[in-house]
Amino acid sequence: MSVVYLPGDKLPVSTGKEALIVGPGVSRADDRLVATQAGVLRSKQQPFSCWMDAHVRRYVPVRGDKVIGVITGKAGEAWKVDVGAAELATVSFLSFEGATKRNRPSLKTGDLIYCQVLLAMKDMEPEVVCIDSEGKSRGLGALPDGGLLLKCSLNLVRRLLSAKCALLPTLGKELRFEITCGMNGRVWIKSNSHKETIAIAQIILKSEFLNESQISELIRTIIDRCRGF
Amino acid sequence: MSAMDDKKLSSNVLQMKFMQRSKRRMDQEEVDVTQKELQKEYLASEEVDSTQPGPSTGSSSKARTIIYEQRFDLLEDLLFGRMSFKGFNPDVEKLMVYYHELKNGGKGDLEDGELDESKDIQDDEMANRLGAASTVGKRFKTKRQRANDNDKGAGRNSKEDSAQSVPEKRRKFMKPRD
Repeated sequence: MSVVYLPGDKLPVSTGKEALIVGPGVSRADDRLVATQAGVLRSKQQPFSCWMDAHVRRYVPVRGDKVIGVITGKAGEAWKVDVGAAELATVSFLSFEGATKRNRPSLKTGDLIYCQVLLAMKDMEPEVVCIDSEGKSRGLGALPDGGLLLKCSLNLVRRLLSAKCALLPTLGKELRFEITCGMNGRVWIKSNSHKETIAIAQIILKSEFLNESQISELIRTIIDRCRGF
Repeated sequence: MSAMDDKKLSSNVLQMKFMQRSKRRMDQEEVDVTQKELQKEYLASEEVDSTQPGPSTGSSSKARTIIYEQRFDLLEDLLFGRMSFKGFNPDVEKLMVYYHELKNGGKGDLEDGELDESKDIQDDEMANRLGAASTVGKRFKTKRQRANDNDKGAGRNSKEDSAQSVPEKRRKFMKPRD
């Protein structure tokens, strides 16, 4: 049984002298660590880290996060991108692989991009880029046309992307599809047919509150229904 | 000067007009000293938020080094966000392999040595088509070497095919017959 801590609860983290990594939802108050979000305490050894796994739907940009953005318009030499944050983010025309002043990437309003947050501060509008520090895209950039964009909670996306979760590999054995998960609670799915895409979307959304064994049952049920049994 | 600093000046002397400047200086020094002490106290009471282990001042020896990390993908060791299954998107499948290798050991190679996707025709194919094996080498040979090669070529082939190996006759000017 995992313990749920509420904001203000003192966390039972061992006091000692070794270095400690404090993640989101945990804050230090004098000598103790205190929860600032309601959720389950997660920790990792080596180096010892702890953070709160809370059910959150609102995204707060963090530098380095890879998110899915929707182009909403142009602003000078950049596009305005909706990333789910309080403000629209900007992505410069030059922040794409192989982009020069003459050779601009071809994106229109409504296109989806998988980008990385470059600048995320409390008082400034976020900036995203589709390129890494070496100038390569390595998977970032415009997503292919078509597909379905889902909005879900942030912790569901983190679960999908964790190494321990078997949902996507199990689905991958049954169905042929492509998926992109943004840390801002957006998941883009594309598959051979609309029916399969919807089936995958249903599986992902319904799996949020199930454990691993229940997930395989869920997958079985929905795929059978999709295939018409 | 050190002797003067050890003894405190009497208040009567300090009230005199010619002492005003030095009086102001002494007051300022006093204020500075108290400020510095306050600063030291304040900094010492705060935790040392740095990546270097170990304390820097005396009172922070009780404090642990704390690093604040907001990125979930580093904390939870998440996979790369794009995935493809059963070959739906081959580029993404290649990316999956790349990132998997990156995690498990050293740097993967996204573009394996030969495949540079910005070029339609790869380097080695282009070179072979242009005949790099024989023709480019000829460019850097001297006239004497080229002549030797021709002679050698002629010499070898003369046994089999004498007609081809005879060098072309230089055409002379032919006077037009009126």
